[in-house]
Amino acid sequence: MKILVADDARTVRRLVSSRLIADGYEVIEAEDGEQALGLARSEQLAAVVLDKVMPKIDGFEVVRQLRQQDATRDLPIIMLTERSGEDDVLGGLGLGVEAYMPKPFSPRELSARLQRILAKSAPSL
Amino acid sequence: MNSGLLWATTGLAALALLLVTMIVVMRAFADRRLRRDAKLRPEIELRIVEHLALDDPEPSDRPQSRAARRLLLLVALEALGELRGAERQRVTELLEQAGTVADLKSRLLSWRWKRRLEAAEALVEVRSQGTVDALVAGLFDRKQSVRLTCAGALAELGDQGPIPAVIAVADEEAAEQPGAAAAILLALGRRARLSLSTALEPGHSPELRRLAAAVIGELHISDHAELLLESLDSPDDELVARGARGLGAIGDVDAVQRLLGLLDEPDRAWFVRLASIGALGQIGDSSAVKALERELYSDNWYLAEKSAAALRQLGAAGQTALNGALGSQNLEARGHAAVAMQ
Repeated sequence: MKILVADDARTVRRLVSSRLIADGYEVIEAEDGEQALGLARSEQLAAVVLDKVMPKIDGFEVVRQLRQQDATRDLPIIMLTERSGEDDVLGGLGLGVEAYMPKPFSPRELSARLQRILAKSAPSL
Repeated sequence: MNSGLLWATTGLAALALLLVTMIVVMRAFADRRLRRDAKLRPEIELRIVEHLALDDPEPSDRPQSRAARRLLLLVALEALGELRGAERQRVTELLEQAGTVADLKSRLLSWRWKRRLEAAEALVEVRSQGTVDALVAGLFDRKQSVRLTCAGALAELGDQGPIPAVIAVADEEAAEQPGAAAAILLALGRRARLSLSTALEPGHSPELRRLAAAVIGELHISDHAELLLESLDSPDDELVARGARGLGAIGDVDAVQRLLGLLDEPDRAWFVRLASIGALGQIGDSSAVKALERELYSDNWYLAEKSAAALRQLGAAGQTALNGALGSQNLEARGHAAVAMQ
């Protein structure tokens, strides 16, 4: 399963990617919102891990645009952010973000949440 | 051209050439360092992520070059800023095993204060228990910034032993550096919250006590509600106001009568009444309705406005009082009630 990790901080991308790779996922990375949007549209993704604050296009806008397209409307998204204020959480969940993780975060917890989200969204047999 | 002018011109030209040469050389060194870091960085990052990803990683050895050691600290600090929980602890362990923490401890003894400060700042993030003794020594550094940073690092560790010394540093610097003192108290509040009671005791400076009251309220530490209640008897109006706000944030119903009493104390500053009104609204006890209704008709715009907002939080009884104000002759009170009911 291919996961997109989008964050302008290289360290965060490395931390998240290495955890997800260790847990058996294939990972591609984006360092800004524009790149994230491009990859989400062109690749067959299982989910996206997205930072809220990014250059060019921020995380909320990326989510909005993905939700407007048929191909990516139901793509599971986990959002990371420095801020954990109620407005940010509600804003993210209101856009259809599956889970919202404030920083500092635990990559293991993120991977566990991702696993649960993917299990719920997998087609039932 | 006379010889004096010639010498002056030659001298200036030589100086300019020297400056340009220095800039070029320094730039070349900086570029070389950037290229070396770019080459080394992926290896350092791999080291850290492997250490995190493996269940039982091999103990990390000390990087060979100074550049690699510097970069390991830099990348590790970036990672520490993003992580929490067991993975954060793992990064600290990696730095301990790689000798980085020992390097930082010895830098705390440097004769250059900037190196001492940088080391202390790094240790705030690293949070290694093995550095307590070195940080305690740093509390007596001759540089204020180093003392405060070491106090911050110890507060983040939450080790009980040095807490009195940490609070003493915050106390000493609270008047001049309230931001740094507040950061220390916030860290203590998160890591060793019961220790904040010491900072609120009467023996400390008014500035520290005010900060402590604010932090207790900000962090909603209900264990200290009793102390905040006691602070309402202080002659220091600033402390009383912060204590009142703290009690409101905690939602302490037992404080209602005392907060109401503050509204009847004629010698209290107006901002004490304001804080008390706000707290009564947050606590939401309907026994405060009558007093708040009285304040709604105050000549002080801020008190009246705050009272209207507080009444809104007091359920049906507050609503009744606001409805009454809507029908009153008092234009200001009508306006505040209308705004509060929107």
